[in-house]
Parts: sequence; C-alpha cells; structure tokens
Amino acid sequence: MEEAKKSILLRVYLVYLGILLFAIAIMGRVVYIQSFESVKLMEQAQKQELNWFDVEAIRGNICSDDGTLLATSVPIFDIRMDMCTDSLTKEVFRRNVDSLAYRLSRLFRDRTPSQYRDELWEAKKSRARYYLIKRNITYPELTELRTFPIFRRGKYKGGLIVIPHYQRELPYKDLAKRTIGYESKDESNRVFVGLEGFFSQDLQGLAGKRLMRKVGSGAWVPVDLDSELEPQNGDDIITTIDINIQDLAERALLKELIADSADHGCVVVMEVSTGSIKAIANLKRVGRDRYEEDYNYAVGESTEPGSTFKLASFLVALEDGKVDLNTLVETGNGEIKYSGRRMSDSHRGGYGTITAREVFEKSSNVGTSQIIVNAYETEPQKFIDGIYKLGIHHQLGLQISGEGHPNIKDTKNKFWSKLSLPWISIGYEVAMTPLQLLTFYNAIANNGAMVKPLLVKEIHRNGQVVKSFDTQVINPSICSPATIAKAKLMLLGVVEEGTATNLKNPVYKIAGKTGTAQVAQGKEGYGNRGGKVQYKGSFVGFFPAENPKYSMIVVINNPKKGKYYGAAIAGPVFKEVADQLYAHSPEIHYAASKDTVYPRIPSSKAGKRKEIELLYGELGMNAVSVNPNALWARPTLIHESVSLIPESVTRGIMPDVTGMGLKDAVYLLEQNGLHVTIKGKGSVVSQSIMSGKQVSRGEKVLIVLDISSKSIHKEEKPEA
Amino acid sequence: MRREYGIFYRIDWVMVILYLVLVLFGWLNIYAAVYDELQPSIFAISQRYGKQLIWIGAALVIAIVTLAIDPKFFSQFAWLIYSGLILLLILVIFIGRDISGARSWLHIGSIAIQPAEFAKMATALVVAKYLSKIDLNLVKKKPWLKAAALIFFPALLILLQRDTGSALVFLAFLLVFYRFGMSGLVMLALLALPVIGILALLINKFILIGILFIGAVTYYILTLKKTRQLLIVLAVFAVSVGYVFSVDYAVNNILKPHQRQRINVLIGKTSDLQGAGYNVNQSLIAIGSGQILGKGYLHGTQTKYNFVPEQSTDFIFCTVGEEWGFLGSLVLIGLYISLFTRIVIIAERQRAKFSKVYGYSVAAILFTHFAINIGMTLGLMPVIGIPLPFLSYGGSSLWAFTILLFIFIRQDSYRYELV
Repeated sequence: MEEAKKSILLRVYLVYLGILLFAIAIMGRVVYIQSFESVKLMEQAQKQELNWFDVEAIRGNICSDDGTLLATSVPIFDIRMDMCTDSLTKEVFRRNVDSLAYRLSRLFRDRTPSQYRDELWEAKKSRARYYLIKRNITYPELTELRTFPIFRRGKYKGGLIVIPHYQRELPYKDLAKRTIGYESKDESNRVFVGLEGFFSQDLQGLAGKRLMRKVGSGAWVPVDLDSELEPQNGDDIITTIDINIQDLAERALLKELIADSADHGCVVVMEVSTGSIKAIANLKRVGRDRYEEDYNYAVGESTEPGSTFKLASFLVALEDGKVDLNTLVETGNGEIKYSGRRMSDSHRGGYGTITAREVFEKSSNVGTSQIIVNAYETEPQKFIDGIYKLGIHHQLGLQISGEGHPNIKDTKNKFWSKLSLPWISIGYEVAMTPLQLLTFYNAIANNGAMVKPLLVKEIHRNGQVVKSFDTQVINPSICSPATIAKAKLMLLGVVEEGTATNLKNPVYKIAGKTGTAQVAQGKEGYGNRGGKVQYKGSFVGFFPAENPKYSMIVVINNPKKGKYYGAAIAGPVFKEVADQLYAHSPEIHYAASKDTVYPRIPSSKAGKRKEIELLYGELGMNAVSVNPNALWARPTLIHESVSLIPESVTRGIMPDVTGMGLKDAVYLLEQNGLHVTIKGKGSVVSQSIMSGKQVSRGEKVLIVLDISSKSIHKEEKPEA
Repeated sequence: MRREYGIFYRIDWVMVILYLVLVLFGWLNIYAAVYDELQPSIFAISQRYGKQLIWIGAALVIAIVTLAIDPKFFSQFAWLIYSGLILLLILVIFIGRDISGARSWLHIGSIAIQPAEFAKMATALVVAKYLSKIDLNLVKKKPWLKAAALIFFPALLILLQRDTGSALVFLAFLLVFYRFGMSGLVMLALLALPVIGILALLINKFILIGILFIGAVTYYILTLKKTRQLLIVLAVFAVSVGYVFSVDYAVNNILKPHQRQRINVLIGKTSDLQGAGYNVNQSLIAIGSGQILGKGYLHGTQTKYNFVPEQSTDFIFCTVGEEWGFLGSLVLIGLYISLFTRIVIIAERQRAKFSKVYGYSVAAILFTHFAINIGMTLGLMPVIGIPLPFLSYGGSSLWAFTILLFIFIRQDSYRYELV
C-alpha cells in the first residue's frame, strides 16, 4: 500500500513536472524570440508595415499680368471600387446595382445603364478589389457620386475608393494656350511646352515625403507629422500677358484666318517701353474654320520676312549716309534684272522716279534693291555689317523654349551669291521669327533702344515675390536718333499714304510696314515651277505713332481666298486690335480723369468682411460694419463714408457676387456646387443667375468680369 | 438539491479569479487585435470585441448556472451528457456547415456552436465516471483499453469533421490515465513517436536505426537481462525501425505536396515565408518586435494591421507578445501555470475519485490547448488551429471551457460531502 502510494505520488510529480517543463520551454522560446531575435524581427516588422510615399506638390499657377489665373491645378478624382469589402454582400450588391448603374449612366453619360450594370456584375464576379469606375471626375461630380446607392455606404461598406490628384486646367481654354504651355501628350514622360516647360522647375515645387503605415489591405495612413517632409508647392509665374488684349488678339486673328482660310497665323502685342508681351496668339488650321493653339509660330517660325525687312536695309543706308528720305530713286517700269534674274514690283508698270521715302512707303522692291545695290555693290559686307550693328541677327534668349534662329548670312557664307545683296535688301535669303522682327520694330518705337521681349515678370511664392525679371536692353541704341526719326516718318507714311492706307484713321496714328512674301516651299522654291504660290502677309508696327505705347506684329500664312497683300490680310487684324486697345487704354489718352471734384475714397471689391475692414483700416479709414457678424460684405458709399453692408450667403440660394473679385466669387459659387464659367477680368459686373434664386448643385452659371467697372461703390438702391 | 449552501458556498476563489483575469485579458487583446484606427467605436456589436463581450456575459451566466446545479448531477448524468454530445458530433458530420475547411459548426437559428468544444467536457465527465467505478482493477490492461475507447470515439468523430486540432486534444486524457495507473511505457511510446518521427525526416535513416540499436542494447544491459525483457526490447526495436521507414515513406510518397511542405517547414528543413511558413513567421515577427516591455496596449502594429492571420482566435498570443512584450508573456504564462497548478493541487485534495479524475482531466485539457496553441505561435508546434483557453475569440470555446472549469469548482466546494 505504501509502495502504491509512493508510485502514485511519483506520477503526480512526473505529470506536474511535464507541465512545468513545457511551460519553461515556452518561456525560453519567448525569451529567445523577444530578446535575441527581436532586432531582426523588428526590422522585418517595419519593412512590411511602413513605407515612404511621395506627397504630390501642387503645381504653381500661371497668371496674367494682373494675377488672373491662366493655368492652375485643380483637384480631380479617379473612382475605383472594392467589390470584396466585407459588408458589400452579394445581396446588397444585387439589390442596388441597377439603380447604381442608372445613376452612373445619368451622371457620366458615357455608357448606358445596362452597360454599366453588366460591367459592375462582371467586376463583382471576378472579385475585383480595385475596379475602375471612372477617371478624372470633378469635385461636384464626386459630391454627387457619393450620394449614389452602394457608394453612399462609404469606403468600408460600399467599397468606394476615391483617388485624388491634380489636373492642369486653363480657365481661358485656348487663349494663349501654346505660350502658357501644357503637358505634351506625345511623349511618354512628362514634357511641358511653353512657359509650363521653361519654368517647370519653379512651377513643379518639391514633392514631399510621408511615412505611411499600413492599416489593413491596401489602406495606408500617415504615421505622424514629424516623419513628414512637407511638399513645397510650386511657385506662381506672373506673366506679362494681359488677358483682355490676348482675347482681343486671338479673336481678331481667328476672324481673319477664317475669312482667308489661311493655314496659320500669329499676333504678338508688345509694350514698347518694357518689351512686355501683352498678347501672343498662335493659331493653326485644324479643319474647316477650326483653328487651335498648336505651335508657337511667333516664337519658333523663322522664315523669310519679305518687305518688312526693308526697314533694316533703309536704316543701314540712312545711317551710312547712302540715302536720304528725299533722294530720288529710279524704279523704272517696275522691273529689273540682277545677273539675269528678274525682280519686279507688285505695282504693274512701276512708279518711275520717286523719292527714297516713297520707295519705302510703296514698298518698291526695285527701288529698295537699287538703293542698296548702288550703295554697297562694291562692299556688300559693309551692308551686312550695318545690319549686324542693329543687333537683329542674334537669338533673343526668351523665357520660353523653341526660339527660331535668325539667319542673316554674310559675304563669306558659301551660299552668298551675286543675287544675295539685292534679295536680302528686300527681305529674302534671310530669316527671322515674327517675335524677332517685332523686337526690331519695337526698338524704333522705343527711340532706338532694343529691349528683350519679356514674358514673365515675377515669380511668387505664397503671394510673395521671390524673383522678378526686369526689362533687359539688348542694344541701347540701334542707330542714331536722326535715323530713328526718319524711320518713324517712313513707317507713318506707309499708313498715311503708302501700302497700308486701309489702317489709317482719324483718331490716332499707326506707324508700320506691310510685308507680302512668297513662301519658299522647300526644294520646290517659290512655286514658280507650276506649283501654287504661297504667300505670307504681315504687318508690323506701333501706335500711337507720336508716342508709341504698343508695338504689334500680325502674320498670316497661306491665305487661300485670293487676297494676299500684307495690308489686306494682316492689316485688318492689326487695326482691330489697335483700335480696341486704344479705346480701352486710359493710359494712352490720359486727358481727363485726373482731377475729380470729391476727395476720392478708394473703392474695394465686395468680399470677406474682415478682409475689407482690414484693408480700409490699413488705409487709415474707418469702414463701418453694419453687421459685425457677417462673413461677407459689400463696401458701400453712404454720405461719403464707407459702410460694409452684409451679404447674405445661404446655401442653395444664389448669392450676389457682383462687385467681388474672381477668387471670392468663384469660392462662393462653387461652395454651392455651381459650375462657374468666367468671362473677362477684374471684378464681377453681372451674373447669369439672379441673386436670391434657388440654385441646385451642378447648375451652370456665367459671371462676367470687367476691369473698367470702377463703380464699385454702389449707392444703396432697391434690388433690380 | 441542497439549497442551504448557496451558489458561492466554499468555492475556490483563486481559480475563479484566475479565470476572470484570463477572460478579461483575452477581451482586451481581442480588442487590440481587431482594433482599427479608422473605426474605433468601442462596443460595436458588429466587431469581434463587441461580440466577445456578449460571449463573456453569457459565459458568466453559464458559470453561475453550472454552480447552481447539484454537484452530483454531473457524475450521475455523465453517460447521458456523453451520449448526447456523441449524437451531436454525428449530426454535425451530416448537417454541419463548412467553415474554413472544417465541418464542425452546428447552426441553430443565428447561433453557431461547435459541439467538439463541449465534447471534451463530456468525455472528461465520462472518463471520471468510468475510472471512479469501485470495482475497477486498474492494474489490469482491460479497463484502460475501455477508457481509451471512451476518448477514441469522440476523437474519431471530430477527425471526421476534419478538425484535426480538436481531435488531437483528446490525447490529453492519456496524461490523466498515466496519473491513475496506466503503464508509463505508453507515455514513453507517445513521447518517442514524434521524436523518432522528426529524426527520421531530419537525419539519415540508417544512422537513426544505429542510434536506436545502441539505445536498445544499453537498455537491455542496464535492466536485468531477462529473456522476456530481451524479446520486448527486440520487438520495440523492430517496431521503431518499421516506424522510421514508414514515416519516411509516408512523408515522401503519401502526403500531398503542401502537407509535406508544412512538415518540412516545421522541422526547419526549409523555410517558406510566403506559403506554409507565413503564419508562423508573421507570428514570430509580431512577438519578436514586442521585445522586453512590448509596444504598449493598442500600439501593436503587426497584429492590428492584419499581418498575422487569425490574430483574434488562434494567434491571440501574438497580440500579447507584441503589445505587452516579454513581461506580459511571462505574466500570462504565469497565470496559466498558476491555474494548472491550482487545479492539480485541488484535484489531489479531492476525496471522491470522480472529482479527482475530473480535475486532472480539466488540467490536462487546458494544458494541452495551452501547449499546442502557444507552441504553435512560437514555432515550436505545427500550425494546429485550436484556441487558447479563455483568451481566444469565440463563444463555443469560451463557454465549453467555462463549463469544464466550473463543474470542477463546484465538485471541489462539495469535496467533504461527496465521497
């Protein structure tokens, strides 16, 4: 019995020992894993749960000279769907898929409801976890999409995956598009053209880095703020472009191109004293009456300028004293042969004996070449040197890529021939881009100082100027003042009594030169051998002639409706732009407006009440807030003091945005989910939906802005 | 029923408190394992921690009901309960629902239960009932074979449900049998089987046979060199050699590739971090990255972000290891060892044999679960999906373990009345 008891006790101990031993083994294993192996295992853990992600920097804006947005980045969204999220059961899916498909079809209008339904079912059956519904939808569309069946259940229950990213948008669509630039689509990597490309470094900013932690399948959240490298958003580029002038130029050019069925054309408007490009329009025919900003002809297309080059010839001859305005030139019957090659004037029968000034004004080829050949036949290099002295044979070094090379050969060039001197004198055998030619003419307007065209004047970061570009003088004096004066007289004469009398008007004076060039068709030459002759009509000049403010060039290539003279096809475009510009530029005719009777109280746009209050405060004036709690207000002049009348802003009710700046107006309207279309610049003068009306999401509204509307102070009046 | 004593009459509070601590700790860890920063609603019924809270509430009711039942009821109705569970096990094979490869769930309305979990308790009762029969001569082999049949039957039915893990747990009863007089050789053989099996796969067969031969000779020389002993030694040796060859053959020719792969991974022959070894590797990463003090409650990134599969059920220990570190693991293992020790001590002080055998059964079942589960998460054991008692998510297992333990607590509180 004692023996048995002992044996039993032994067994108890053995069993217990077994348990204990195993427990110890486990403890040992835990120690081993958590101390000796832990460093290695920690590393493995981090590797699979943490990851660095790039944080997209928002690309900077490209603005016009007054800060109007020309190119900006707007958030857009890709919509995907996780068909296997836990609570999206087949039952839920089956019950809702029809109405989801219907709503999707209604929203996007790209597929029929049944197509959508079939595709959704397909995706559900294949258990797709990242099914693409639609790319690049806008914020208002996303807001609507979130109300759809299934999707309104959200990310976890509805499987809705929203991937935001930024898309470049040009609020003014095609306006100056090529110069503003865009992402070239025919390249596999991101290549930007235009200003987008040239200032890409400044615009793109710096992508940030963010340490993200995995939370469940495919979902990552930021770890904390410390481990983050903030993205540095891109800088804003402030161009010299004036959106109104640009609009004017683009429209005038388009009208003429359509009228002539021309291949392409360009208009560049430059501010004389600064070289600022106020407008640069390039249009290329892409179909019947359809033109697009596709190639920057003004910057890139270096071709034979034709008659507009005669100014250079005259400058050289005048400067060298080889000719004067009244020197008589024999143009004969309008025909002359140089080494057997015929040169003729467009005027049949010729002009006989005329003054040098008349030669220029009538654009006589024979006369011009005669002047130059007679003066430089023995020393042609002197003529070329004279042209070189003007400084028009170099590239300008623009703030945009793709500038064409000017080509003005000298006598040592292997292509120099006996024909070169006469033909160069009338603008053939040389090549210049429209912008180079304009820069040259602008120098005359600017009293001899040749300035570099300026496209971008400032770079802003967070509203602060970080870099500014000043006007650069290429050549402070291209020739003597006397020659400049003579050149101006001749250029004025072209309009007053020469080839471009159609530009003449009683209000202000235009000075300029027409150009009608035959375009060389590569090897086929100028179309003399049976091919159809192609022409290029141009007009380059400045206005007002006495005190030039703007210079401009218009080039129209290959018109097909019969007329091809520069004055006839390029002239009207020049005149239309110049007329409008003259009419709308108070700076040009600052006669009145200076002295007003009342002490002026500066006006302000309507907007955020606090901002306006601050503004008047800074100016040392007191703006009385009628309602100190109002968010939005409109400064109103009452008894010669400023009162801030509260603006009522209610969701779903159209607010009164007139008098507001673009930013505030768009903010307010988009808050209500409206699609805003913008016209003009400045402050809002009218809105297509009357204030106080009920509005719903997605509704379209047009707001018209105008800079000249200075009547910001509305006297209180009953609502119209 | 002796009403005069009341429910909490002389119950062992140490066991009850250990139980409550484990259950609560389990709930905290399930919350951590399922915790989602994006949806942190704490008592969400749809989430596992919300459900587990309901299971825990129900478990407490079950515990009290169990305590309220006359202690004699369980010995008296042991056979009935056992039969009932056997019937359920058979039923499951036919009408059960497949969940992750095993057909072990019975759906009654919206509630799903796993009869296998309760079958352990029923088997413990019937084994205790059988071994406490007064006229049983435990020196003989026959009663042990009968007792073995009692555990074999439900284990077989569970195996038929393709729930290998739960079936293996029934081996726990051998520990009980050994305590009550079964030959130690059975235990020895049981230990030798996996050891020789693993060696057969790891080292050269003939070297292994040589080692076995030397062992046999040594054993024979050390014992009394009786002829009868020689025959037994020879027989054992022969069976071992056969076993070595059959293991080798079975693994290389009978098992399917993925099963072979799993075995190779376990014994360290190959590592396959994406396939068979994935779970264990993730588990090790989680536990290992906890280090000494752990990452802190709810800060365990590995378990929280679903790197570890089944982290609220079978791999709940990962959460403990990662968030509470070595110290937490030590405390948890300490709690379990304390519980087992307490059960064994209390089982020893029982006067009634039924209570004593039942107590050992409880300890053995809990220990087996504990050993296999934690061994698995630490890479010591093959990946066999069985829950960690009181900690793992799941209603059936929690309730079954609760009943199992509280029957014993009630038996103990009546130890002077029960003979």
